[in-house]
Amino acid sequence: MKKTLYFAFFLTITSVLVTGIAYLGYDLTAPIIAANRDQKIEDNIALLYSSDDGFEKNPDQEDNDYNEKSRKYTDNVSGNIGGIYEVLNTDSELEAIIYNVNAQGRNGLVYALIAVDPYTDEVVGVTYYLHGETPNIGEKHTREEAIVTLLGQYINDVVVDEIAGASVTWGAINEMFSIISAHYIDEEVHING
Amino acid sequence: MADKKVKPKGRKKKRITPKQNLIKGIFKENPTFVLVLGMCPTLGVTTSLENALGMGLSVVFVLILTNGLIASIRNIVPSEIRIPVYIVVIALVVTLIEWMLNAYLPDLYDALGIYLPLIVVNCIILGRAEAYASDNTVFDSIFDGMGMGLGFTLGLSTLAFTRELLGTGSVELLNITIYEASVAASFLVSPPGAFLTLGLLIGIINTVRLDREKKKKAIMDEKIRVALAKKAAKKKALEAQQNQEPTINLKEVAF
Amino acid sequence: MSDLLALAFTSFLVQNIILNQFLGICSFLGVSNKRDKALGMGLAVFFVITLSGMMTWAIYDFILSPTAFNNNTDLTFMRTIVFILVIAAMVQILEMAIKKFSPGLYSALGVYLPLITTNCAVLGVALLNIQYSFTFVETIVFSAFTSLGYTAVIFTFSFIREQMVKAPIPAGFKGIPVGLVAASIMAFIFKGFAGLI
Repeated sequence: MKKTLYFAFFLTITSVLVTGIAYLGYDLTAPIIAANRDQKIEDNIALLYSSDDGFEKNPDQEDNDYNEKSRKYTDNVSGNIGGIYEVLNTDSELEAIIYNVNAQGRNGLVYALIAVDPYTDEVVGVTYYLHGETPNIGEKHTREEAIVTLLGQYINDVVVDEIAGASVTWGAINEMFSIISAHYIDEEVHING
Repeated sequence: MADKKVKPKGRKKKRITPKQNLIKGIFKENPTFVLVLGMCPTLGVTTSLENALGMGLSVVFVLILTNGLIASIRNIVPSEIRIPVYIVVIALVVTLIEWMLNAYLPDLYDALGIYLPLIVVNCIILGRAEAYASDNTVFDSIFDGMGMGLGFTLGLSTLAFTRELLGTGSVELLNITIYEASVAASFLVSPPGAFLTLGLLIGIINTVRLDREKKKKAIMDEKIRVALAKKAAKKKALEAQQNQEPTINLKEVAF
Repeated sequence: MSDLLALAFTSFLVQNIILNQFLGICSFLGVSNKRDKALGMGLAVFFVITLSGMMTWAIYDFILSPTAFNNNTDLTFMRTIVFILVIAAMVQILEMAIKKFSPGLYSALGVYLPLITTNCAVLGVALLNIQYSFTFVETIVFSAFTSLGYTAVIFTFSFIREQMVKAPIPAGFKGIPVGLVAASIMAFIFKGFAGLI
């Protein structure tokens, strides 16, 4: 009996110590991880609209304008909007709105930045900044050739070409566009003129 | 699962120098090629040399830390619950290393994927903790961990180098392309190629080892034979001498 | 329903846990040289993975995940530690239960159960369930069919290995190396399933 008590005591002390150290480690590294992720999104936005061409993120974008409403727009467990960013061109006019969306692919979530022109409702830029799709199969959807077919389509009627054997990835991309479309219509993002 | 460990009485433990400890893990008891442990990451992350080196060095860190920690608490932990305690310690170390990589080397973290948390159940780590660190001092255990980890890294890198070179035609390391060829057998970077390359490598190394052992054995046999022959010759000479002696003895006794 | 069928098919054949995802290789190479050993290990792994998949999913969903406790806590950082402890405890309890209730089953499977704690496949499936954000039903289907894929492959492989012992193989390649080459051929065959879904 005494022995079991000693074991229980020992195990409790160990678990408390371990939880404490784990929490400490988490506290120290989590901010850095979050900062890395934000930096990656910044870099990828720059891929679509680089600051060399005079584009810049709207510094005055009110935080609660879009982000408060970027809740889940689907019934699915996965897929939501991580953030919405406005891009200004050299004349400080709104050039495009970038949706940071993700959806469940075959190997984890597929993260993409999709840029929409609010004046013409067209898709003007797509880049996949994090995915684990199968190389040469699902990953084909993330290449230049596949992205080019998406540009110029109306955001509410996007048709994604199918690739043999990559139906799960195809479904994920469709889901991303339907999420954006739902938000676009709901929040009346379209700007006239 | 937990059984009491009985230390054999009266046997002094043979101490080997740290350098020998280190070398043993790299060559003689190489976890990948000789002990055939830790196969899951070996096949999974060796599609590129960078990933393999990253995984190998992470395992070196984990091994050093876990071996050191477990060796330092080996006298406090009651023997019956030592396995769960070891598992918890290993899981903690791996989780911390996971976050470190995610924070400071996020590309490597993304490339290693699910194989990084699976270091917890890597046979090498629990195996060395149970077999070595629970019996030896912190100093020895750390060197053993380093040796095993470096051996593992060597195994991973060899496999990754072969697969990447023959499978994609070029090997890239830290943005330096080491070699570029125009033909490649691209199936080598896919799962079947992994099995094939690893099987052939282990086979070749086994053949070399068996050959060496055979040669050693042959030399040993030769030496033994020569020694036995010498002994036999000596015995014969002694007998021949003894055959002449009795006549002298008889004369002495009769005196 | 068709989603579940597709998931079952994918996890059993297309993304086979041994030949495609490389989890559970140590036990695959170690235990597959005799038919009955392979079957015993395969069934034990099936039990453990399915049960532990369900259990770890439940613990994650109800305790660790950010959506537990009314979005007040985020204990995801304890994920790996808690999962491996749950798996170890579950294997222990399973072994005792089988020993008590079915000695026949125990004599067939029981020897392998303690080894399964450190089988990459168990922790791997538990983590994948979380990574793929499955629902409970999807977790059950995925865990069960993934482990059935393991059982099928290891059992088939044992037939091959039993036959290979009779072949004239050079001494350096006997045992594991030639087994790996045979596994590579199996993996080639399974690769052909990729375009089916």
